[in-house]
Amino acid sequence: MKCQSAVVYERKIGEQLFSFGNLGFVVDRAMAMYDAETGSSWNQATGIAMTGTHAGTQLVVVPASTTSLGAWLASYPNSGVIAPSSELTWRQKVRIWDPAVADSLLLVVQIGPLSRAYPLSRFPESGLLHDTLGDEPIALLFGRRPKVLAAYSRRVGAEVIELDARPVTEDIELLERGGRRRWSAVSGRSRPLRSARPLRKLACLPIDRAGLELNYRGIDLFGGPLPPAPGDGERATATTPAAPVPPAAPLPPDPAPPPPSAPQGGESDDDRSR
Amino acid sequence: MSIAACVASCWFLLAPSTAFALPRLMQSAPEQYGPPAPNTNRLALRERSPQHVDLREILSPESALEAGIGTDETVLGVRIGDAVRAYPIARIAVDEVMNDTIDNVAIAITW
Repeated sequence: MKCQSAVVYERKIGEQLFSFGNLGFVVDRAMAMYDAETGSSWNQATGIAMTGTHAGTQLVVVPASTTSLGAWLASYPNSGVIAPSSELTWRQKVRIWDPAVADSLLLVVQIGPLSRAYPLSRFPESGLLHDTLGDEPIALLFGRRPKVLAAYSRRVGAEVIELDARPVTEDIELLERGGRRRWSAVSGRSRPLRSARPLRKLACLPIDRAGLELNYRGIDLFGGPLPPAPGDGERATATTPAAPVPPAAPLPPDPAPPPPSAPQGGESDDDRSR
Repeated sequence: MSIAACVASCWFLLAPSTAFALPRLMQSAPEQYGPPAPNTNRLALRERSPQHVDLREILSPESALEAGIGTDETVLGVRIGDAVRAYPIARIAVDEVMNDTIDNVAIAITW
């Protein structure tokens, strides 16, 4: 049983480019992967090398949107889509939106060396949660219809804003509380396009409780420690010594809004650089 | 060779799921077995070579829908520069890690 973590990493550290493969077994509920260049083994859920010449090295997380294909294409109608495989895919069951297991899932948000885990069970009905991680005001979204799982900075330029969420066709609109600006939850871009600075997406990853306790020992838990899970009396809890967490891409300054005359649909700021 | 010896030597064919438990067992007694060694570890029975996204695998939205990917399919969406790509988790889960390069940025998509 794997821990439901879907993560995109940069596969270059310094000048070293890696090609990752699957070692074929699970460690601490996470896939053990290796790089073909040095043979180091890596933990998929943390991005930390377990053995080899890169032991202890951490990969950088690339912000990505976990969402439905329909919602993604509504924001990016020209997106490439990776073809399905003809192989049996008995392992790929995505249970993030499965009500039966949602209570055991968490969203880990990372800003540089800081990280915090947010149990999905502690999200309000709207699916939008506000918090401050370090100095960064953030908003997390666990949208059910359409499916959107993402985290954003609430700092827009020099302002710190609060947001409300409203489902729209194939997207969730994030509205500035007390203001008029609104953004697409899938892309983080303003609606209408270029009417405001985009929201910066943050590196985050879903993970189940058992995977969190094995791979992110000591991580700060939003809302305090979790109650013991059924039959889980002896499992390690968040009070165990802290383990390192993979670094997320540092937040650069807000991109300046483009001039009003710029053509629509060609924003050059990407999710990775936010 | 006796039947018992035959079964013992082919345990991984009869019960492949036990391969998942062994690394944990090894972790619980590192002084005896040591950490798993990549590439040379004989327990890595399902080790797969690195999979790179082939340009022929990248479909247009229309082709993707024709190929049977539903609009409700969960994807990991990545945007780097002007390049935008959606990775259905059902596809990533086949190898559990895919290597790709978007806008000259090398990334690994993992599940």
